[in-house]
Amino acid sequence: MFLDTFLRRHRLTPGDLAAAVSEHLAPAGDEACYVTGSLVEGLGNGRSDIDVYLVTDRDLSDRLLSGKVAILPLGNAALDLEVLSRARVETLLDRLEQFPSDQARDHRISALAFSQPELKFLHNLAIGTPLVNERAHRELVSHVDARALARILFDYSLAWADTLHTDLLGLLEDRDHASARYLVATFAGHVAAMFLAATGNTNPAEKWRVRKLAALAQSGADERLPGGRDLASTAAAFESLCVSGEANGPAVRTQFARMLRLAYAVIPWAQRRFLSGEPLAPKRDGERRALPGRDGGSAGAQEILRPLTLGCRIRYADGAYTLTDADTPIVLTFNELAYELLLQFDGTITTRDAVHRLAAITDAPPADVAGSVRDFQLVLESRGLTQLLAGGDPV
Amino acid sequence: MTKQDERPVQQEAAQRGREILETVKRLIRETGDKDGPASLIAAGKIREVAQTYQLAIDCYVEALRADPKNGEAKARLAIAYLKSGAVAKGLAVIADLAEQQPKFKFQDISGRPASVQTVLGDAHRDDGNLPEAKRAYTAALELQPDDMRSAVFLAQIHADEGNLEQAAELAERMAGGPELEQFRATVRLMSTDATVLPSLDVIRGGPRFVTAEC
Repeated sequence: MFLDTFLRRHRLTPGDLAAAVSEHLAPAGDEACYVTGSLVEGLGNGRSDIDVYLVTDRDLSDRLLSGKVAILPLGNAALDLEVLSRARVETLLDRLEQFPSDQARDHRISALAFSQPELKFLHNLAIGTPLVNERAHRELVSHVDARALARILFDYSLAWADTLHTDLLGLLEDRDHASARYLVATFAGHVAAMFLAATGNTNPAEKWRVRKLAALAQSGADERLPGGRDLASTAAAFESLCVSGEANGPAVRTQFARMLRLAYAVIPWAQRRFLSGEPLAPKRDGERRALPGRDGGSAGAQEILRPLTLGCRIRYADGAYTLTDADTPIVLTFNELAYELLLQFDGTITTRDAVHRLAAITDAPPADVAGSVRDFQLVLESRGLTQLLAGGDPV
Repeated sequence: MTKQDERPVQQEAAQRGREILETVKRLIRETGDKDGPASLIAAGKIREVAQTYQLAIDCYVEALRADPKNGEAKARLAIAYLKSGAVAKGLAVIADLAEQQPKFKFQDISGRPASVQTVLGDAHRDDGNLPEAKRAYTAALELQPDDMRSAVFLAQIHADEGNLEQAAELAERMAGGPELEQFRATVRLMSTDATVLPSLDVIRGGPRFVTAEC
């Protein structure tokens, strides 16, 4: 629900809103005052609050709770007024400028550089609509680099995903499957957040992730990710993974492995997108040569490519992809075609299908591609980077 | 993977199991048939197969007490230290033997050719000193061209350093075997045309190629 619908439903007008704010805070001519939040983003509902921010140098603490906020009734709705000092906002914007979106950096640094309320404020500023003093608002918004903000959200979730990955391996070793099942869902949330950030989302709130994924799934965005899945079906895949299975070893490992496979496609793709300065808005298909989708053919007598072990991570940096393993100090560095090939090692794709799919994105003869597939199989298996298939269900 | 696909894995494991069984039977005979240090060395090897490295070390120390110049006991003591993760101790022991008997040759537990230089190469590799490991493996191959372990690891160091031609040359000299195929696959992926085919740029750290125990 958007703000205008909300106001109509509550028998209010934009004028009522502006009058209430003016009466309580009396914004001066050079002060940015804007309405923002879920109702401006179209995510609100009938019970949402109306969020209004004022950026000022004046001391308004006598009118505010804890010197920062006021909660006022507006008809039968609630108006949340939040006041921030101009100096504080300028400092925050200066800090944001220090983290450009295409900067090669340790993601843990930017993950720790901003608090969640600060990220929420920056997002709300970027999407806000001025109530008064449009010029003052525009001047502030011009300093919010939405792409840089999306990158910080990506870095934050990557830091969490790395930590949770290690925690999950430990819990599985300890056979604490109930805790592991819970953490797989948290891990999935961070992979989804990275996916959304790489498509331009700057809203850090967890509560809107599912809604944002659903919107992307319904958007029909057909830009293909590495591995062949398109943006819309990737978004839909997160939704189907939210349902947790049994709290036993095989079920939790299966869920974790499925989420890891999504992470293998999403994280390096997103890293490349940010670092190379690509637009974050979903592109139309056909702009690059992408792996075709799966043909769903039966395996027959063909050998199935074993899935990577649960300790594997794939990342992109400095124009190359790397695979590391939590259990050994191994580092494999490889090109983009090899990355596409590694994504085929998921326990369901046959060698023949992998060759067929890779041949669609390269000019090399299929026989040479088949040789590369066999060689990668041998290297990954001999280095202990693939796992045997458990029964009929690939994990 | 189908049941049928799993057969090669099981067959390979069964074959390796038979080899281990035969080796252990031979070592058991040697512990009874031989006297003094030779018997203790055979007992130490059994302990190594069982991966009880401290007990193996005790056997080799005892063998060296009986015969301080026994090269095989000293080489195996170094190997047991390396297997147990005590790299510094293993390196010290094998460096000492290499100084005293730089051309000492012996057979590994499975009967394949090895030398003091092979173990010195392993110790330097585990210590992270690749230039010294390369020097030792080269010396080992000069002593015994059929020293497969030294050839595999030397080729791997060359490949890791980007010297693919030297690595491939060594690979061609090797006899067949699973480790050779794994190595050749790596070299092919590192030297392929990266503009049109999947390629590997670097492999660092991690488990080495699957090789038989020294």
